[in-house]
Amino acid sequence: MAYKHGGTSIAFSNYNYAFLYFNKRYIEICVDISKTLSVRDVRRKVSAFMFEFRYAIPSTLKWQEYRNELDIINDKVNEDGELNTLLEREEVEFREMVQAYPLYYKHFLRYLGVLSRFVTELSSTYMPRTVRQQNLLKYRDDNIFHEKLHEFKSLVFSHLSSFNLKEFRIKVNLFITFFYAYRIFVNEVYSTKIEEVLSLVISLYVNEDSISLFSNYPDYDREDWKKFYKIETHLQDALLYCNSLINLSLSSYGVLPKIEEKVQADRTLI
Amino acid sequence: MITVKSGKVGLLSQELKEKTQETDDRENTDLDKQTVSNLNNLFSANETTSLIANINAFNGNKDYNYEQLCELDYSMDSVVSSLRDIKNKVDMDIFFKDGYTIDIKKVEEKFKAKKLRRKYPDFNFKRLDELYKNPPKTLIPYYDDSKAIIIDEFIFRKYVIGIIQMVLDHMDLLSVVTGGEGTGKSTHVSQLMYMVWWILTECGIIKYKFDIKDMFFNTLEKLRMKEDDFFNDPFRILALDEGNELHRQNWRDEEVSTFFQRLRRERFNQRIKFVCIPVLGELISSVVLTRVNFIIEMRNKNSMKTASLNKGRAMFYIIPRGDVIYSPAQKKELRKGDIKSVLFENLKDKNFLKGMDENILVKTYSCNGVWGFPESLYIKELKETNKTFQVSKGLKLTETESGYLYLARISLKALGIDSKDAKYSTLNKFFGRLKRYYENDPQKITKLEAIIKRKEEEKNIKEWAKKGVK
Repeated sequence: MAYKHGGTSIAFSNYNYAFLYFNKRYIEICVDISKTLSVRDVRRKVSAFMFEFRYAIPSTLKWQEYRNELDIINDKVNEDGELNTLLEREEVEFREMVQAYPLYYKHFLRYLGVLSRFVTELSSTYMPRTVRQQNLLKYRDDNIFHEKLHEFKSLVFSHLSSFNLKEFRIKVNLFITFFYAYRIFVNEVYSTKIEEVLSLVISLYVNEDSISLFSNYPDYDREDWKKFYKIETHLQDALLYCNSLINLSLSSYGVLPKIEEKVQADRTLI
Repeated sequence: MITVKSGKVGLLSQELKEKTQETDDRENTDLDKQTVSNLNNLFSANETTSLIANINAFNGNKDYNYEQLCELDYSMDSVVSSLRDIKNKVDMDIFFKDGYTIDIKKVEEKFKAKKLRRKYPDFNFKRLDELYKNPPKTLIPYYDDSKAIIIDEFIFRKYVIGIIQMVLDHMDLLSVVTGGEGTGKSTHVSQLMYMVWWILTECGIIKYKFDIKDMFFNTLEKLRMKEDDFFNDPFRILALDEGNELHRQNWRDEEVSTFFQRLRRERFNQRIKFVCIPVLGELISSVVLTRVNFIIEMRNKNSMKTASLNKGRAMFYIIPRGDVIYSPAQKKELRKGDIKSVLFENLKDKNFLKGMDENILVKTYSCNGVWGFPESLYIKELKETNKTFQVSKGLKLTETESGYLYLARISLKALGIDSKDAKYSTLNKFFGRLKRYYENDPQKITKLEAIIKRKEEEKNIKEWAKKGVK
């Protein structure tokens, strides 16, 4: 925790550079892990990231906790040999992939969980939470933070706009990682709501009935297609709703131009 | 944490639908969406949760150490500053809901309490309120209906506030317009003069005509003479064009020191003065720091397409009477102390030659080239002044000389000059000014009489010495 000992300037003297580097690396890992189907790849990337920034964790004991948690998840992933072999293959059919999804998501979400808590822990060091920090990053159009955030946001939105069940993993994972990357800016009420909705989105997708439906893709009769499209619509609506909640929070940080900064009028005299 | 739930597709779909249709719980709030969102963010921020946990830890009689105290101090400080920021924004919105700041009823109450109705019988509060709420975009000059002076509403409101303070608090208003040659200083001053005259007339404060001869001067002497004429006439607008006579080197000149002394002492005359000067530093620092209200720096911009100059870019600075002044240019409030320190540094040595420091800039605006009075009159006045500078140096009287003349009580009648005489008008005006000069400051006569008395005594002593009287 950065304490205020005789002025915040001491605590945040190298704030901007450190934050920008951290932000860049975090976005890279988010995009990488959402693209790959390999859980082993996810493990490698998450571990590398956590080890790189372990120095910024305020307490050594806490780091040890994360390390243990990571080890437990890694062991479970390694135990799942069948899944690993399947997902490491260069070409995986949609029906095979869908059948592996319940297990894949179990591991993937665990990695994301530990990663998101780790980043929250780092927030006191990196994230702009105070007014002073927000101001440091505000009104600077050439800021890498804004540039990266806009880039990432635009990528996520383009995927959400062309949402389809066949590419569910890439699109949803990208959204989840984006949410976790900027969760620190999203207010807690919305954040809890987004997590609840995302839980339902993934549950609906990896549900037994859905998996059996997806396994037959594209050999569908009229009713199956109806069901397929209905699920697709539900899921896309839910993701867009979550995205709107993120936007609502981000806009108050001056990150998004949605709500224009009011030109403050004068209340002084002469 | 995202968790995978089990259940039937139908039920999960239903639950998902319900979740995504939930509306915002705070529908009956009088706060706007942005404020609610800001509060949400603040109350879910790490600092707030840490603050609550920290207070609970203390109340729960748990071990409490110095580190926690530091953490509490840090988080409370951060939460309070963020909350204040949010509240300030709401305050600002409420304040400007109607788009203006002055409570005209309160102005009226103060006016009545100070019993000012007798002094300003035609003061029109309704018009003042209207003007403050909706400043005009343009003003048509009195001499040509086809022309229009562009008005900046921020500047307009500042002058209205200045006028209100003049009426209620008996203040002067001094604006200094600086800028290099050909930046449009004189044009803009004429616009500002016309604007102020228009406000004063509209509000029923003055009834005199807008006449360049009574308002706009090229020499200090002319300005001083006109000021003498209007001694008991408040709300006179007086402008000194090319105030180069006020240069620091001339501080000991009688006209210059009179000008500065009047700025210092004669607040009760409620004058509205404009001074055009190439750089602010030519004025005495103490006068700038204590008497000047507005500084307007005129600039030219290059027009690349025509290779000429775009005139009329104005940088507006305020030396506030209150503690702070809001700067739309910098989107923050500037403290009076800071403004004065910057100005003090700027006026020191030859720093002022660099121009004004933009860190204290309040507003930038543009003005057009329409004069407040006909340009031809300005050129005529300028030519006449130049003529007097070239041909005649004039005759100046010292304080003692003029004092003796006053004490001599010269009467035109006694000199055989009556109103039919061609010399009468000029001499009558001169003796009138002489009379007012000493009657308005009787101490000068007392001083002069003491000097005469001393001189007479010295003379007597010398004579007695000659005669051998002991």
